[in-house]
Amino acid sequence: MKPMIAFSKKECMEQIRTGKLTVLMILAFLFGIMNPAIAKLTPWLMDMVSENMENSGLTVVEVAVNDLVSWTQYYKNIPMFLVIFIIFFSGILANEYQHGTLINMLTKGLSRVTVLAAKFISIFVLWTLSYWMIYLITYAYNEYFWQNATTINLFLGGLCYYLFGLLMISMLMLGSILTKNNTGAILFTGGVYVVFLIANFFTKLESYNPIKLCDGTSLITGSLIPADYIKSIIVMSIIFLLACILGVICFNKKQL
Amino acid sequence: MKDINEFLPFIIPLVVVQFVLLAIAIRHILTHDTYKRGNRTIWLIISIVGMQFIGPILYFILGKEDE
Repeated sequence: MKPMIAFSKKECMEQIRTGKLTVLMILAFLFGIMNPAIAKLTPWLMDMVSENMENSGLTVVEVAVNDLVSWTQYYKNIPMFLVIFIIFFSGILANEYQHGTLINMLTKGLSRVTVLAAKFISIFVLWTLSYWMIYLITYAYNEYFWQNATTINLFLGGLCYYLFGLLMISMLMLGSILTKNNTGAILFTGGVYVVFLIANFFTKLESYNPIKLCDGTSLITGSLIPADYIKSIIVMSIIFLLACILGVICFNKKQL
Repeated sequence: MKDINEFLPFIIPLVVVQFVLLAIAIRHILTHDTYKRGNRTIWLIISIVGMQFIGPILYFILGKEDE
């Protein structure tokens, strides 16, 4: 247990010292503030374009903005943040491979599982911090401006996307173990996402598909109930565990 | 003036972040002697003139030397 704690600490220190934590926090802050700001600016933007539209025969009546607009923006923007996050951390194992920095530690007796677990813990902590920061900032602004009056199940909606993010991060780890480089890890994660998208075409698979977790808007407007998400959460957990086990097995066999 | 008051909750945190970013960038510039390109004066001017996020970001992308 002790080497694991020490190595996790080293990983977290690395994220702080290289400034990745700061950049991520600033990004998360901007992403959080963007959603309510766009919602708040919508009537003003509409006002600007209404003159042009009147010339072409369209009239704009007054636009009502509520917290739902802001939460819709949130679910539109958060995939962008996940993509940035994945690209940002695509080098988490690849850099070690390229510089050969793991060899020393492994030959001194650090077990491979420990390395992998510590890497995963550090990336997990960063995802948790940044994701819930975006969520909380958006939530706070929506509470302030609109009291979150027209939306329900807000926390569950947030949790669903958080779980999907975890799944993608496990895929990133698996991808970087299998391909040993940045681009490979990103392509692998993207490939898995595309597979989920294709699986969504089959209506029978739809309720089991983890990609359903991205659809938080249906949950907060009430067109889907939380029970509809249970199946996809179970499937997500199974894939997550499988990816972890497969990752450990492959990593034990890989040459550094 | 009513408009500005409405956007104050957005403007104040953004200004704070902007200054934090500027401070980090300037500290980094002053504590490092060599840069990927350019020199200290150029980067100080760029980050202060473009302090609305763009200057510090430009420095961190183009000017900061990899260790």
